[in-house]
Amino acid sequence: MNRGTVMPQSSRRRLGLGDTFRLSRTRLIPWLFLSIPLVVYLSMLGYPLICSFVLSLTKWSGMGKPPVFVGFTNYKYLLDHGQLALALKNNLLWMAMFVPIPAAAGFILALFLKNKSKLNVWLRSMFYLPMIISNTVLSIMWLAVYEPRHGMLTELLRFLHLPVPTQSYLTRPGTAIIAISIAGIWHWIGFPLVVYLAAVQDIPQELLEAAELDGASRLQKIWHIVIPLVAHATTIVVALGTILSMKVFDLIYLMTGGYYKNDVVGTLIWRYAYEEAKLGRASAVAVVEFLVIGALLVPYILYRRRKGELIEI
Amino acid sequence: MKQHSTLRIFIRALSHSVLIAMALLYLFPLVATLLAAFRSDGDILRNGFLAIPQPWNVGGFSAAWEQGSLGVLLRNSALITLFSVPLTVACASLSGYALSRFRFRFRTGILLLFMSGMFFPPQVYIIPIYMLANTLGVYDAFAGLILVHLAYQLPFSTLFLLGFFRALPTALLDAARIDGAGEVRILLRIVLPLSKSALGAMAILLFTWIWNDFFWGLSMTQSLGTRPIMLGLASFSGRLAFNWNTQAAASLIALLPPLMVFCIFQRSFMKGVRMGAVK
Repeated sequence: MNRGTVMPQSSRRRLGLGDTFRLSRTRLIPWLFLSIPLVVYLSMLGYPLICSFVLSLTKWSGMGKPPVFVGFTNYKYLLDHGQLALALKNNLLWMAMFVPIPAAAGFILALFLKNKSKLNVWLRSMFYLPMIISNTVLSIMWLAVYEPRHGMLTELLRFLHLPVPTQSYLTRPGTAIIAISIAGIWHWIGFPLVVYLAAVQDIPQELLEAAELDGASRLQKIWHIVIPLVAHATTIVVALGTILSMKVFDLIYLMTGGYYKNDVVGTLIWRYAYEEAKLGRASAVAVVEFLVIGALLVPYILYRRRKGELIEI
Repeated sequence: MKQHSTLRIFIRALSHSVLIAMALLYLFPLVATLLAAFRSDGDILRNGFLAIPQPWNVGGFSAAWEQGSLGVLLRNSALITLFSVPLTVACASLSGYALSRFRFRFRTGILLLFMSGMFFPPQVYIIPIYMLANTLGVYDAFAGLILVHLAYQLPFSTLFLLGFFRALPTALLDAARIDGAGEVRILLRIVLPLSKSALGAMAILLFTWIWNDFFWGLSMTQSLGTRPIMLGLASFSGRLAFNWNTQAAASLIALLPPLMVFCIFQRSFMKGVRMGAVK
């Protein structure tokens, strides 16, 4: 296609001198459409990123004196002290729970709920429902689950005559992040279910029937036909899960404040910026998070582009 | 043969009941939490969270309404959402149309820009945005929150609509172009009406996300007059010393709008999730 603008097939003719002005005007049209969105985007998201990078090279408390340039001191601090490493480790722990468990659960549920019976439609809705719950309500609910004396988990353990923990899982450094990630998983299972359902329903019935004729068992069919054919869905679920794991903030902030060695990168930025008034250091963490997510993103975009799945770039 | 089919029915019934049990178990903690809205705190402390209200008690609702100023919080959230969602849809229609129907220099770059914008968490931007909002005088104001929501939802919304616009038949748009319709007219009269279902699905997703937002409310507001409800809810625990009853009642009220949207527009909502997932 030619540069400039989409030309209707019928009006395509040799361009003369008189068309120059017309062309340059039509070339402007996409930019006119883009002007407002781009101004909003660049001023609210683009400029802040650059600003974060500049701030990360300074020392600033946010009030009074202007920022002082200190070079890479903030980054050196982050390397020398363990907080950022711990936060990154917690993001990874979250990822280790949040990526495989919902993917597996969503896939298995999709296999059971793939037929469109009235019951299945109802059951699907029940698994979708948590998606509309806000993180605030979610955190209240899971605080009620983990409450050590009367919480649902304690009551359940008591009912089953199992030993009841003396301390909440949320205030124990070793278990806090895992306990909160379970809340995140509960919240998210609907999404992999949607994606896998669409993928499973797309599998041509003849393929499965042919395998059946060849004497394949149910598990063999799943392993050799279904799983390879839903690889596309798996890519989406895993990629999005990975990126969401880097974005966790609300649940940690709301349920523990990150005080039990369960800070993630997001809450660490918050702590440095708002609790310790170290804006330079907080910005440095933001830049690190930006780079980490960017490093995760580039291969994903390239991969999907190679497979021709992404909107043509 | 007959035996075989009875066995089959039995297995099917068994798997159905297991599935039903699992679904109920899955939603159980939510129901139990929200039931606390109808129980006094004494009842909760005596009988634990896993019990039926006895007696049913609706005091939590009036307490939440009076002590928690739920009315103000609801109004704030409604205002913020009602302005942010249409603004985002309008803005994303412009950028989605430009990127889907024209080829021009830097198109790839701008696409990548929007695409990458979807994946960064708000914490990355927060310090400069806070400074910017202070400079513009929109910190702790509806305008500030609306602007932030607009910007933050724009990348996803643009790509969402871009995908849909591209699938529209080109012939239709070309015909209009030959008839001398301008691009704005084509967008308003042809593209948008043809995309009603996509616009609706996206608006529903945006409504849910913006209504449910916690982080931007936390970082961009300070006073009760501008706080969105999700933030007000969270601050209950501190102020009312973890009053489960009040908190559950307030949660239930805060949950109602998205819940209603989900129940009424479930089909569109799920369509939106599916379409969004492919991006």
